Amino acid sequence: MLIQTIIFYTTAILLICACLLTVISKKVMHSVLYALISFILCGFLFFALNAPFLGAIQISVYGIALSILFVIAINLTNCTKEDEIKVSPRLFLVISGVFMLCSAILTMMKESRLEYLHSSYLLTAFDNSKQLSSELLFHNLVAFELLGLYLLTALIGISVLLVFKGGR
Amino acid sequence: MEITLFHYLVLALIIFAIGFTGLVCAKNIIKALICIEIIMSAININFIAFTAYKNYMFLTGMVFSLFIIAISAVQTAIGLVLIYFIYKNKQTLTSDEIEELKG
Repeated sequence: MLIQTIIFYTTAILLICACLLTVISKKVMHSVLYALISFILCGFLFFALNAPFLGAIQISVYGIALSILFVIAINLTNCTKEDEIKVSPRLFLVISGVFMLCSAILTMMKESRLEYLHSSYLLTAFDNSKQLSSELLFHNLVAFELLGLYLLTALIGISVLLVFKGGR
Repeated sequence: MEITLFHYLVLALIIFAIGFTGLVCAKNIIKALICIEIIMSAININFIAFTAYKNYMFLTGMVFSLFIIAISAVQTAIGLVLIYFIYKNKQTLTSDEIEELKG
């Protein structure tokens, strides 16, 4: 239990720092690197939540594929201009107010309903890939097929855009 | 000290707030797209945490999370292609300078 706690807090602190650095960094390439770190840490959190399949997908899709896409896009656009975050006081007040409101709602939920949800409900079996695949096959087959169709449409759309518009 | 669902919800809330702040404040469009991905990560943490702590037998949250990962990867790819075309036409990626749709 102590090891789980240490792993959670370490990952959470690193994740928050990486996300903050992503937003604060002036250079976009640095933002991509910090985002890569945050995506990989997020994948580790999924492993800690007994979801190894999703953790692997998170690391491979978000951590590797999307980061490569971002780097290629930055190189193609030659985006060297520094981006400075300027937060106006009114915007800062609104964002912090929303954040405080959400925290208050979460605290009230903890007081009332979430108390019985502790980690003893977690299954001891670590690998649930078979269970996830059966869930996809027997309960969400139509959604899965629609997702495949959506991906195919997006692929064709991107190809058409690049072929017909990119050549000009 | 035991890690409960509440810890994961607070973590997801903090990450969501950071991503939302970046999305609102970033002037570079690529950075805004990265912040959208951070928000998606926070949403995925929520889904998986609820599945792991509450409804483990059905894994519905994990299925939703899988769909979200796939769809957000696609929308990022399409967004980057559009950003490339915007840069080709305007030679800039600053959101303040792209104002064709401004009313």
